[in-house]
Amino acid sequence: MINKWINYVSMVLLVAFGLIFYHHYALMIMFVFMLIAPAVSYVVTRRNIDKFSIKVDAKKSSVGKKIPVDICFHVKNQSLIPLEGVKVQMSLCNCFYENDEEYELIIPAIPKKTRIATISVNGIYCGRMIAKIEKVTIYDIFGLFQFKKEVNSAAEIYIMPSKSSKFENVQLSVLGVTDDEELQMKKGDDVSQISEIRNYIPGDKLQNIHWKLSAKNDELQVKEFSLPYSEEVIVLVELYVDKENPFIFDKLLENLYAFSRDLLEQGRKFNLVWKDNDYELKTVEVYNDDNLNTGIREIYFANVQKMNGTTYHLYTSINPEMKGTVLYMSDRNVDIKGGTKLDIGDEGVMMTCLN
Amino acid sequence: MSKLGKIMKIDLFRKKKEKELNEKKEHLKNTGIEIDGTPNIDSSGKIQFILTNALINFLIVVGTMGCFLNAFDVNCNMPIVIMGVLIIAVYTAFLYYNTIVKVIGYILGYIGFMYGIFNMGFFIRGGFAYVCNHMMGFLETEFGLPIERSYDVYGYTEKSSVTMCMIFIAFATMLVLNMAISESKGFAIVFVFTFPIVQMALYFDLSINIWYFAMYLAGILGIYFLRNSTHYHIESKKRKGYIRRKRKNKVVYDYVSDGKYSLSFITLMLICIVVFVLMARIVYPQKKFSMSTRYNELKNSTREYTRRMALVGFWGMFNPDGSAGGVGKSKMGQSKYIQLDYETDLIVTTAMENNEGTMYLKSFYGTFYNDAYWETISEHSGNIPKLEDYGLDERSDIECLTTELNEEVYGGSFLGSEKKIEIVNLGATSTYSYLPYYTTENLKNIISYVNDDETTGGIARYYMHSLNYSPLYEIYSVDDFRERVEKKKKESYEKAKEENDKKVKNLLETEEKYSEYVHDVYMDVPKENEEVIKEFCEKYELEPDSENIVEKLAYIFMQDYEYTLIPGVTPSNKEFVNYFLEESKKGYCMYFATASTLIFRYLGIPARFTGGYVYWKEDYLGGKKIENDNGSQDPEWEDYFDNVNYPFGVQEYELDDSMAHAWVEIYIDGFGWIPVDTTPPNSVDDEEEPEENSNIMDFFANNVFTSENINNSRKASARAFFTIITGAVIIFIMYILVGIFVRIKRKNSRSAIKLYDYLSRCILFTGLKRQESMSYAEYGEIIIENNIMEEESIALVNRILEKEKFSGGELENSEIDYISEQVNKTSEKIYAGLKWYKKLVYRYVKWL
Repeated sequence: MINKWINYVSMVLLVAFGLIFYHHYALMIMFVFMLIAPAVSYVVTRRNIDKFSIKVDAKKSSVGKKIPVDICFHVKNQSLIPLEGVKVQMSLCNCFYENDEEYELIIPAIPKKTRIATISVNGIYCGRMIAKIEKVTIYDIFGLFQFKKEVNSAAEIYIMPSKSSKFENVQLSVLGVTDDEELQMKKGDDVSQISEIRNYIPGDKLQNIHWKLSAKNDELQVKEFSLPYSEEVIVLVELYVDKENPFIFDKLLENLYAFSRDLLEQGRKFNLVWKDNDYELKTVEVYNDDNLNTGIREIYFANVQKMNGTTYHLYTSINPEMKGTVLYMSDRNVDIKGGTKLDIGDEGVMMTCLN
Repeated sequence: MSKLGKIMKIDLFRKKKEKELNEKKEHLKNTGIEIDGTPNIDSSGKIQFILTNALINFLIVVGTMGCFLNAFDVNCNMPIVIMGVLIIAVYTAFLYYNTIVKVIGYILGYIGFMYGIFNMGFFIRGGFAYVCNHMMGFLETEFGLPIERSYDVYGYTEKSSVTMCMIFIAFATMLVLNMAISESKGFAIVFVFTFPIVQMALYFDLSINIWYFAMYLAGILGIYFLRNSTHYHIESKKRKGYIRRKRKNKVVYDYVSDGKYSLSFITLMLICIVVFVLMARIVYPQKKFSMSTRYNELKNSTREYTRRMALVGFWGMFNPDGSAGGVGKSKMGQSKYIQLDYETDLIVTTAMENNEGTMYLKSFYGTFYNDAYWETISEHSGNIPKLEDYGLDERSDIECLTTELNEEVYGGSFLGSEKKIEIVNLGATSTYSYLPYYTTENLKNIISYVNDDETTGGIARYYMHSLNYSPLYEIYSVDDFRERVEKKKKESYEKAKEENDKKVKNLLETEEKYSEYVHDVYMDVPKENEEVIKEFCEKYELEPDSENIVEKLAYIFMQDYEYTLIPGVTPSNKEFVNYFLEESKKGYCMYFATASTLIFRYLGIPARFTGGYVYWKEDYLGGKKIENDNGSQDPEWEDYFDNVNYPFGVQEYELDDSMAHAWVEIYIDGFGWIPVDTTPPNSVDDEEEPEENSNIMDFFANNVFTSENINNSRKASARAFFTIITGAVIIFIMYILVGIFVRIKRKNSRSAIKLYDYLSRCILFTGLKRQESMSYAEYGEIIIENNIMEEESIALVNRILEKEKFSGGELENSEIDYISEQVNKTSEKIYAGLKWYKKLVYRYVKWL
């Protein structure tokens, strides 16, 4: 801005000197134009400021890790004057991690058009990525005057854990909730065991497709088995981010997702539990992939804990008896009294069966 | 830069890159977010970008040309020029559409340019000559410059040749300007190129067409504000999208350039300026415009520099090499031009007779010519006869010999009456005395003679010499004068013999002795000049016994040689006189006097080079009449007033360095030295009136497709063809070499991402384009589906890529080698499956 003024004043002085030196009519025209033009530009831009609008959105609301997603800034100019630059200051962060970097994007605006500037972003950690417009400054055609514009717009993208992760290191029998009879029931094709038949959703197992019904209805139908269980399974998650090793929390979420999918594949219904605020535990009942995704997304809205292990302490204080099977997933720095530590094959994350 | 310096620079650069990479890795680790490349904008308007550049180029070039041509009243068909410039502007701007267009466009431009040079060279040069002649005519009037040169216009009419010349100049200029405009909106370059031309009219207070100026204004302000805008770097290579800057915790993405914005801006600017100029002309017309004249001093202070620049170009403003014509005693041919200050050097007061010739005031003689330098007798190193050897004891014996001969022997037949002259030195060289032809008194109290050709004791600054002299009557024919002298001498000698007049006999004997001396000393012609002078004399049929040699030589110089104050420097490997006589054939008085002296000597006439000041007869009335304060005439000059012999009265003449001159003295036996001048006068050629061409078809029919032009075209076509073919071959070889280099560099890249980009380019030929939002995995699936690569190979390639991209690029050599192998293998596979014409494009256009 200052540079532009310096350049402009230099030019005006140069023309003024030219006018003195040449004292020619043409230079007088140039000099007066140089003086008047910015003033006119100021007035016109100010009067048209309401005709500019800007918003941000994302092309996809949910993506996997390391998959680029476009964040789009729409600059709409309904006036007849071009704008030298619309300066958009935005913040971009994952809800679980801090990002102190500011981003500034300058978008030119042309008359009667909407321009779309796109930033392609990769999320390498699971979480909710938020792109928010913090401040918008509009410059006149000569870039000499700036005008502030109030804008409240943000875009959210869910970075989901990878579906391809496998969780094969914990034997179900170790958890004490599996017996052969129940597994046999699950594997059979007795319709009495099917709790629901629904439409096919991408990701469903091929063996669950009800081919006969699908052929009859001319649409893929999937068998939803009733989930036999003998007692309640609770997966308790510690939402704590170690600032020195933030990737551990990401691994925790990856493991949580993989483990949850593993349970669902085994036909296990379970409750996903985490600490949402200081005194409250939040629970989501999970019995299929949809529930799981919902649960994960709700976790993305949770506040991360300032201290490690607070979820564990709160849960044990509220439920000292611990009915059912409680599986606590956290990083390895939580000090747990009792329980059985399970090897899940990840050095940073641990799972403990609390009872 | 030294080797150590280079190593340090590379090391610093590497460390900086490493630091940036580490910071990036750390940031990625802490935030989990990575911005992929730089932002993109929906459509940056490539075509609009090109049109903007074309419009700016068009406005600036037409504005500049229009201002110049209109102000200097050069006759030109402006609508055709504007049309031509518009086409060229669009053409040059489209060169930046893409690389292929650029290469083909430049080749075509080169061919067109060469075609123009060879086939329309004289036509264009004629136009340029018209413009130059206009300019020089104007400068001669404005500054009173004695340039007097007019370039050959080859018989073309002004309007047609200037029009073609302007289109040609526009083409060359726009190619250059377009680079600055399209690459970086280079305001400074454009301004420096164009403003000096526009300002010429402003400087000389000429009336310019305000609409051309408005066009220039729109173009120049447009480019200025675009350059000054938020565009971080407006460059063609990154015409689309953004550039990233990092400042502490702030990442700024500046848009590189936006065609749509630029076009809307420049259009708005043009409309605003046109409206503004229209309003200004209504509200405050040009006729009403006036400014305080007290600022004129500023401009006036530059006029001398401008004058010098007009004389010899930009560096002439600072070049002290100019010398006063004829007076400077230095090596000749080393000054590019004569630097005239027009300050008064001498004030001469005298009374002129009606039949007097030109008044010469001689200051020095050159006797021996040696390596472009006139040496005096004392400077010369050879064995030179002395006056004493001829029985002439003192120089004073011959000092007033001519006046004494005239008075005592010839009864005053050849010289005018003795009269007074006062010479005041204001700015002339003080080591010389400035003596008229012919002094009548012994000047021992003023000067002393070193040799026959050299004196000591000049007129000091602000001092005056007052002496008497008898002027030489005008000589119309040297041969006639010589004959008259011989006749008179014979008569006088016989009469003196009869009357035994010892005084006359002594005078005649003294003259004969001196004549012998003169014939021995003043006949030297250097060997290196003999051959050229001989050829010159043979060419112009000049022989020792030819009649009217002096007049003939003067005529030859007037016909075949050019008088100029800007002769240029004699090349170091050329001899001054030889170069002048044979090659350059142009120069000022010093050139002509030097050559004439040697030619006269070659033809057997004793001659010597003479320098000093001259006052032409036709300017006798240009002096200031001498009167005292109360209006009556000065008593000191009383004898000359109301005297029929002095019809102009007593006048005071101011001689400046434009009157400094060089001439030749030749010796007339029985009389003495007389001045002869062979320097041709300045001449002005009458210029032909231009023919008007009513329309475009007439214009081309009458001027472009003439039989002369067609003949020229035929003659030049072979040469043009050869040049174009040579140029095309050179360009083709360079293209091949650069292409091979690019291919090798791409194939041997040690960056997995660059190799992958190379692979993506190859795969493009199969019709599969990788979308920007596609992950490696997604693109990998497409590659597998289309059977371009094996599943295992692409999976491994992707894993390596992700490793480089997300872990900071630390790959092992084996990994890079693997990717390189896979990429090259795939490239060959794709190539093998292409049709022949696609193979050509693949290999030699895209260099894959």
